[in-house]
Amino acid sequence: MRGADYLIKTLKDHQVDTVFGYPGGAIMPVYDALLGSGVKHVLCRHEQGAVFAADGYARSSGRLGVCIATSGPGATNLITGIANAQMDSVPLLAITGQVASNLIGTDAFQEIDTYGLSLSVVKHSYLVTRIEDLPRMLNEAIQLAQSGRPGPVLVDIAKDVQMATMPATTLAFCDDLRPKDLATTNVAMNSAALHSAAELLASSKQPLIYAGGGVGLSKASELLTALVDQFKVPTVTTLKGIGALPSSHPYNLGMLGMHGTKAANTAVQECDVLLVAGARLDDRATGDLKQFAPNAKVIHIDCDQAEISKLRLADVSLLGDMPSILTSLMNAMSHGYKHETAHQWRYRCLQNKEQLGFRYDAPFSGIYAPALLKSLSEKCQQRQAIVACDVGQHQMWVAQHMQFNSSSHHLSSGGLGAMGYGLPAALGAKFANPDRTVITVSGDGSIMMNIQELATLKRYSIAVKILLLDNQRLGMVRQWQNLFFEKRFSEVDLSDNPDFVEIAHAFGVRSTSINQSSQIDTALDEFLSSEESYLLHVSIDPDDNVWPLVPPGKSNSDYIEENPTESSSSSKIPEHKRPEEATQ
Amino acid sequence: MSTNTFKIIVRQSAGSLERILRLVRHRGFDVNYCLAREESLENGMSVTLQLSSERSADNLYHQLHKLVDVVEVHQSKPSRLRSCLGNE
Repeated sequence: MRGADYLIKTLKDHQVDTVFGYPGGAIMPVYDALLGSGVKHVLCRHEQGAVFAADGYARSSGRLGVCIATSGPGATNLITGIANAQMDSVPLLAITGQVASNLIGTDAFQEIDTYGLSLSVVKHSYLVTRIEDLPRMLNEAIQLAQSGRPGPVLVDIAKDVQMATMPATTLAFCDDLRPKDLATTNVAMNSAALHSAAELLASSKQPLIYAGGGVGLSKASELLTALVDQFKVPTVTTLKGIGALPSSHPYNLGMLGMHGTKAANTAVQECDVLLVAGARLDDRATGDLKQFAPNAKVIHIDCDQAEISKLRLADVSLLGDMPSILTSLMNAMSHGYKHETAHQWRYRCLQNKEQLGFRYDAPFSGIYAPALLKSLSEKCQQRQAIVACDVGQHQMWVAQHMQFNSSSHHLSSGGLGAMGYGLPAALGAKFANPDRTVITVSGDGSIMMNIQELATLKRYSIAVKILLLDNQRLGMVRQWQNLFFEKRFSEVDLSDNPDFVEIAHAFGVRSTSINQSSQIDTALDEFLSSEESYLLHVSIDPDDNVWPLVPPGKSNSDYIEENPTESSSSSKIPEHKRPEEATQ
Repeated sequence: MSTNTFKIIVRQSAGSLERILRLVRHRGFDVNYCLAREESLENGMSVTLQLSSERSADNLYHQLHKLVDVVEVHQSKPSRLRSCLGNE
């Protein structure tokens, strides 16, 4: 058995049946071993597409995502996607070919120090230059990617190792390796801390839960929902926490942070106890840390010790497995917590949610993106669709205006904010969930970063729905230039965009375009009912912005709702958005 | 600016020292002193670092601990710096 055959066998042993990649010189033995192996290889049209597809596959299924690339440019093209997985804790295995071990360090053709490049963007990485090391390193890599706080692990394999025959003794050894558990987070429950947390919550008059991506990653969403149901604690979510508590849950106040709901940000600023679950208190969520949740005692649950008290000192830290901690916390709370204590607070939170919520009655005849997305969300309710976003204004509109019942249904590049994520991530999600509706919401800037993956959709005849919101601008950058750079618009004009409908047709993908609100209903019905891939191009107003917005470095209390000097668009911004009304 | 000393036991592999130093730099610490040598443990290496920064070393302790190859991290108080280095 060659090293390359061993690699494929090991993937199969770990129930990996689908991988995403792109071949090249230094990975050819692996591609040879793939033939007839039973492992499905999805040929993307760029290595970045492959790694984002593996990411979307992993996020939407909870399984390991695997991508394969060659040395040199193949490996460098993976880096953005690996960093994306690292920032958002996605279980990902990246396999790269490397030049033969005797050529490493000689500046050989397509040689780059992939291992060195990987150091800042991985959970861990390996360079395999001896066939004897392959079993240990590969098995460790697969387990590490999925254990504890998940993350990307890269295995860079020299070409001669891929072709070398595996020594029999090594094979015997590797079988013993398989059950090895590398998880480091099964720490003993700290009963004193648990007791303190329950006491803090019991004495609180204004408790709040702050749910992050770790809830869904640890499969603790049902437990969190049970806790919220039982103790009636208002809850806010981060971008990655969306869906951890169903959006429709009455105590879900929505997303907090820079583009968070007013009800969520107000609650965080006013709460007296904040129960942070599986979140890292990112700056986009907290705003100015010094002014964040100023009156709150913080209880922080996480499986990663390095996240607890990293940015905000935790009064009580609960380190370990989220489901176990939530179960124990519920038991502890059931002895002393009385939800009547927080009755007035709960009433105020729900009143804010109702009175400060979004409105969609735009008076103009063009298409108002938030209303369109709300309509799409309502039409998708029964389907439990998976929605992958790109990055920018449309990403925030999806977070604000679409409803999710599971965090694995909302795929968004949260930490890295990588434009170009949406289309390949949706592609990967569709391979993992062939029977589910998969939609990507993109912008005219983002879609062009990985538009070549339309060819992959066509090649495999899979149905991904692409909703393209086209404002002919790099909208979020434009919004910031408008607000914070005195309207000095620099390199944000995309009015020379290609004809996206024609582009889709050239790839063999159905497509149509709309620009009037009266067209929305029919267009969305056709979009959703299509049994093949479909690109719905939607022209929106270039001056529409994402509101509310907390300026960078400001407190979450200091949200703004529109640029008062934005005269060119003021007539198009609905009256209801004006700040004096919104604060009533 | 505070100074802290860490003694780190790490599983020796290509790049394990590089990984530690990268993390230390990225998290905002300057290296004033570094000593790496084989440990008596099989395949182990000890790395002693004297670091200075405006930032808290407590976070760094946990971040070092998180590195997969790192087995142990010992953090010395600044006052113990001399004796710790003297033992090397």
